[in-house]
Amino acid sequence: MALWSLKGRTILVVDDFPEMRSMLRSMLAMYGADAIQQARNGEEAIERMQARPFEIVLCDYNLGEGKDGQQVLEEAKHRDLLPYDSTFVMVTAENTSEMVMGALEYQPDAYLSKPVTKTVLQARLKKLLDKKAQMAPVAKALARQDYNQVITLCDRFIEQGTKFRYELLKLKTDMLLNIGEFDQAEALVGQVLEDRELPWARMGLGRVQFHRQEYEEAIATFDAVIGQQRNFVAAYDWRARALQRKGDAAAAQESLQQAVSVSPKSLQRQRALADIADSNQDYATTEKARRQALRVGRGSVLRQPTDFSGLARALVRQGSAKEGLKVLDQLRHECREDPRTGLVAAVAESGVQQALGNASQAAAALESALELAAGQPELLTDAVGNELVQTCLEQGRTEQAHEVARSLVKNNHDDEDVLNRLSMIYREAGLGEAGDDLIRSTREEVVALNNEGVALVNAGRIEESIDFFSNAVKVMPNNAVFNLNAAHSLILFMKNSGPSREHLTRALGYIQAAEGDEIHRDWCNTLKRACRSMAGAIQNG
Amino acid sequence: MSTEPEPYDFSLILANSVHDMKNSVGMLVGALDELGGGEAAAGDPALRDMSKLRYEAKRLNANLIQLLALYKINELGYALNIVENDVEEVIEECFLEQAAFMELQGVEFEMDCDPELVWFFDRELVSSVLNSVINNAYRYTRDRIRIGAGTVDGRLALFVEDNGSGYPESMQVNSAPDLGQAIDFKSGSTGLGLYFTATIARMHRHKDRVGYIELANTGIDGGGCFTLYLP
Repeated sequence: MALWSLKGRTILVVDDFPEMRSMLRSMLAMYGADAIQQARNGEEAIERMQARPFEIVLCDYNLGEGKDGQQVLEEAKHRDLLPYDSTFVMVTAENTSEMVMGALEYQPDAYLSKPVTKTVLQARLKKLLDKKAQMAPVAKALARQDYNQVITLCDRFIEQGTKFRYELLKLKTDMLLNIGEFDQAEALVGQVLEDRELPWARMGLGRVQFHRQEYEEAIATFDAVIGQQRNFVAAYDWRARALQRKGDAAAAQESLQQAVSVSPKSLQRQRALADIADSNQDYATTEKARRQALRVGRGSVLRQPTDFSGLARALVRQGSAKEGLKVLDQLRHECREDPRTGLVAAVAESGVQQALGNASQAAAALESALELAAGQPELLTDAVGNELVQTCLEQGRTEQAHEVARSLVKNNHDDEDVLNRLSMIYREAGLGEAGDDLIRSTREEVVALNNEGVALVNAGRIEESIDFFSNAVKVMPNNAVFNLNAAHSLILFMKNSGPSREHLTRALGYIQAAEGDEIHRDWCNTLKRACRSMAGAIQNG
Repeated sequence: MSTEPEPYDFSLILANSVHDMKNSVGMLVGALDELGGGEAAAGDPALRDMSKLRYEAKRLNANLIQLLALYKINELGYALNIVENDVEEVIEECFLEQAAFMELQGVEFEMDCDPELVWFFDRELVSSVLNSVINNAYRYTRDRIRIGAGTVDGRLALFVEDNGSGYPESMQVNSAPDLGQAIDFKSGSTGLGLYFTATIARMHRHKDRVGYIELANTGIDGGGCFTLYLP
């Protein structure tokens, strides 16, 4: 026993019962643990993890009021509070709870059933730590987001023969999907499925089909996953996305409603449901889902100002504008640190005041929203942009609506979801044709502009293309294509004239601006890899 | 105002009660372990008698766990959580859970498992099967129990064997499809446990192969040997 020790390991014990905490603590202390911290609830757990990273987190699933263990895990992963080599163990009261949780997208390293005995705890931790040690190179590559290296390592470990073969195959599939290697991902999950019918492999196949825009096939695949495992929530989410792309918004909403009933405590899922219910004009569902999103997102970085404004708008649509006003007060208070709050609140305020019959206040709020949007175009994300267009149209400020809409199209000219939503807003305002004309012409304008830049690149006039795309980004800061083209030109320039820190920093800045864009993820990753190898060249040379 | 009673779902009430009972019995087992696990307890005959109590409590606990699991699968449509498991880890946890008690009772308890073995199955359900079988072996063994795992004909074989007098002929079965006849609830106390166990085995499928259990007198010195085969 002396050979194995937890001495010096940083450990966080999370449980709402003091007796449980002290019991776990004394069990761990028996194996030499001397750096144990405790948290009484999810919020405290996040605080502790923010203050310092832990090697081991033992977290009870049921934490009373507030976040549960699953939410702690999700928030910690999302905020990057759990280093890749850390070990997260979920302690569950239910012997059978794994049947529910095994299908969630964020998985702890292990589940431990209560009652926890010291021998089992020790045996489990020892195995987990051994495994982490073996897999340390993979963890390091993941931390660097060096997905190609992760794939190489997966292949090497699998070839050498390992107990964790399927786990590595799953990881490799995720990596291939991340970098957009869909053919390889398809071949890999195909092999796995021949061997074993595993939900994650079937999901991988569905995601490949989705990315190839084979929505019918993708929907059938996600249905098959749900048929095998009814509580596999990610399958509902993806099916909803595929249904929406196919144009079946009602079925997409239905799918998300099922997902929410399986797993209600995810902010993103509630938000997705609210968004689609909103566009289906089902405001009761919108309101409910927005409220849920705000509730489960309390104290979470995932919560956004538009979660509040969306609720306010759903209330207005249902004739409760007064209540909407209260929600906006809450928004201004709870998101006061968020730079987007001012614009989001102003847009929503205008709509609420209009509904209350206060035309002059509505106009004033709209005016300040337009000013903010003009002054800081990067604040104009698609969500708030759509709300602003809608509000302008509702108040007869058609010219301003067009202007915002044009800017929205310029920033998202190849994002079908954004453009469809915009088109719908115009249709609702009875201006369907004008809206579609605007979208089409603006889009053509952007494509022409982009082609002009690409022509410069093709003609070998790389330096000019850098200036060209940089200027385009100044006008359209959120446009992924211009950002990535700017980065691409910079990389080409460095390939010709040698890498420099200055150009590399600029390129990475553009890549970062496009990072949230799902459509161009593979392009984004390719450019990132090119930057990484150049950074290496600078360091070595 | 209506005075009609709310419609209720009896199976749900039953499930909730089972859940509650399971937790109570689980605490009872824990308390018995505390009492019987101390150094002083070793020489105390009164505490030794408690092993009977513990045996019954564990049996009850295992049955309730399995009953609840079957309810969730059949009534609520939960799927088995089939994931890749480190077989040695699963066996070791079952072993550790009972080791102190066995030692106290003078039973030689050992485990034998290939550390590199991994297999696909529902960990919670399979652990609960093994725990109840180990508990059963404790009841019938003379003084030895061995648990372990290996592969036989492309299947995972998880076994629990003892050196008792073995299973009576009527209970010796070795394939899932026959089990319906082999289990006679009237014949005795093991009926329900065996039924659960066989059901859980059968729920594990892979391609056209199905899990099953085998009860034979191939244990230590001709004692009972229970084997769970998983495809």
